[in-house]
Amino acid sequence: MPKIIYELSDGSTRTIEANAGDNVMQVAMSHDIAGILGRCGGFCNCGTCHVYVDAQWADQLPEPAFDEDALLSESAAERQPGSRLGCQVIVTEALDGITVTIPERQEFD
Amino acid sequence: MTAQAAIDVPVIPPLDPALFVDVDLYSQEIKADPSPWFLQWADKPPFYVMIHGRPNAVICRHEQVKWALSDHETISAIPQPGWGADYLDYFNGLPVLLEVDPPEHTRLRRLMQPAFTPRRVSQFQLGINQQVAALIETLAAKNEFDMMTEFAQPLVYRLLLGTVFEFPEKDWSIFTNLSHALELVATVPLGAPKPAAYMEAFNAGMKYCGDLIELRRREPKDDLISSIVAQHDEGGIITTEELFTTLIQLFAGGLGTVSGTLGLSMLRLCRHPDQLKLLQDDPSLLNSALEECLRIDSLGNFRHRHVARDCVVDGVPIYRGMLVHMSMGAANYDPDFYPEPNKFDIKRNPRDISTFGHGLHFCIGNAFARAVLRAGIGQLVQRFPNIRLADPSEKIIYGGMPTERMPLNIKLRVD
Ligand code: HEM
Ligand code: FES
Repeated sequence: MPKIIYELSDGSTRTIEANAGDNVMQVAMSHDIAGILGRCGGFCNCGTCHVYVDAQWADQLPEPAFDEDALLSESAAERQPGSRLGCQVIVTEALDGITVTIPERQEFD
Repeated sequence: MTAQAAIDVPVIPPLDPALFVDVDLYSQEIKADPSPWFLQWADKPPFYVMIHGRPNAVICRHEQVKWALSDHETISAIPQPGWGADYLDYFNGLPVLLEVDPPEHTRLRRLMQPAFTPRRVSQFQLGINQQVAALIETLAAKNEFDMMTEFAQPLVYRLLLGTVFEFPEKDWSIFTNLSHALELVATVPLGAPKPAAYMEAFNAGMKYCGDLIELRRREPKDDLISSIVAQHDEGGIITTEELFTTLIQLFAGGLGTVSGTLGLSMLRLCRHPDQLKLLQDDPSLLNSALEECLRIDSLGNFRHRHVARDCVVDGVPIYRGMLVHMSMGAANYDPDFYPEPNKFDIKRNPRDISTFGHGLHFCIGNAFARAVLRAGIGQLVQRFPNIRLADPSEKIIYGGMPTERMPLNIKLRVD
């Protein structure tokens, strides 16, 4: 069971045991982790599941596909090198311990 | 569309009579207050209803609604002539985003997505706030006004046609006529031609778009229309029909939904003065309050789709050729997700509501709609500490599409 470590915008950390094949948005939503909205349900259609993947893990992920890339360029929080849409990051055993930081916002208000 | 010789209307096998519910999903009673039905249905398996002589399945549980909205290979968005949805052909057969599956859906959605991302919407926010403030000042001079005809509708017309599309005011009627005409579609008998007023409005819109493409090619501007034209032109020259299709779905998708939701939210708050007061005393509750308004009063009670292959949902067989009504409204009352679903609690901050759909067709305008709600409701309740229903016993009439709860008359007092 790969672990996902979420660093929240208030500075706290949550570690969740996920199943291989789960995605980072879905696991956050089902564990009530604040700061990820996942409005479209994981279809690369809303851009409200933005996370910053720590550099050591980011390099191991496949490159973002066209729609993910387009949404990241338009996200509410600034796009950074490790920026990904959580719903497109699928955890595997090899990613055990993947650490993601939740941005301060997913939408403007 | 005319029926062709080759149309394929599957024969539906006999259905268990015990699974039929005798209810008119489009009735005024359900529009006025669907909660008694939703409370009954939200933790139950699907059931059947007869609509226009054909059996439809109705899916209500949160997880099942989400599944049905996202498994397009089983539950397809593509209308099939004769399957029982002809009366819901609002767009006269145009290839709208809502009525296509991947891969076509992916292609079309990419053309529109850039217009309504969170970042784009944030650029409209200042304009939205200013329009709301200006409108509220004209209303402040009165003691009483109608939330729908004097606030929500003019506001959303202005925002979509002015702030978003940047059309000159003299041209707005082309689109406002069209949006009224859409409601006529469901009023004609099955198989009858579209009403004349509808066709007239439709053709006027088409002509306007043809002229607009010409105009933008001659005099390009830095606006949404130019960017839509440019997105299309990358993969081949945009046709009048494509621009018209894009604009009409943005307009039709945004106008009634946003104004209706403004109305439903204000009505809900006025009917719960304790919650209204809570919000007025603590404006930081605004986002949570609006999510709760969106949850408890989904503008759309149902969305429909077409069953492309047989399946069984929670023990209930659903056959190819049937229509499915998925109830976003009922999913928002699923007690597994929202304890005490009938309780309006602005501190609930509900997650994963179904009001804007789910999955592939998830509402493209949801961030824009939320921005307008924040400005509209936020400013009204702060500017008018005494805002309330002028006559709490007045009967609210609901219009809009058959599946929608569009309030038509909400008189408010603010003195
Ligand atoms: C509170 C306001 C709104 C509500 C309740 C709402 C609701 C919905 C729902 C439930 C869907 C999914 C329908 C389905 O899956 O069959 C949807 C899709 C859509 N909405 Fe909205 N909407 C709102 C505002 C807007 C706005 C402001 C716009 C544009 C300006 C818009 C444009 C669209 C479009 C184009 C789609 C089709 C997306 C697709 O098929 O991929 N909506 N909306
Ligand atoms: S949940 Fe919508 S893009 Fe990830």
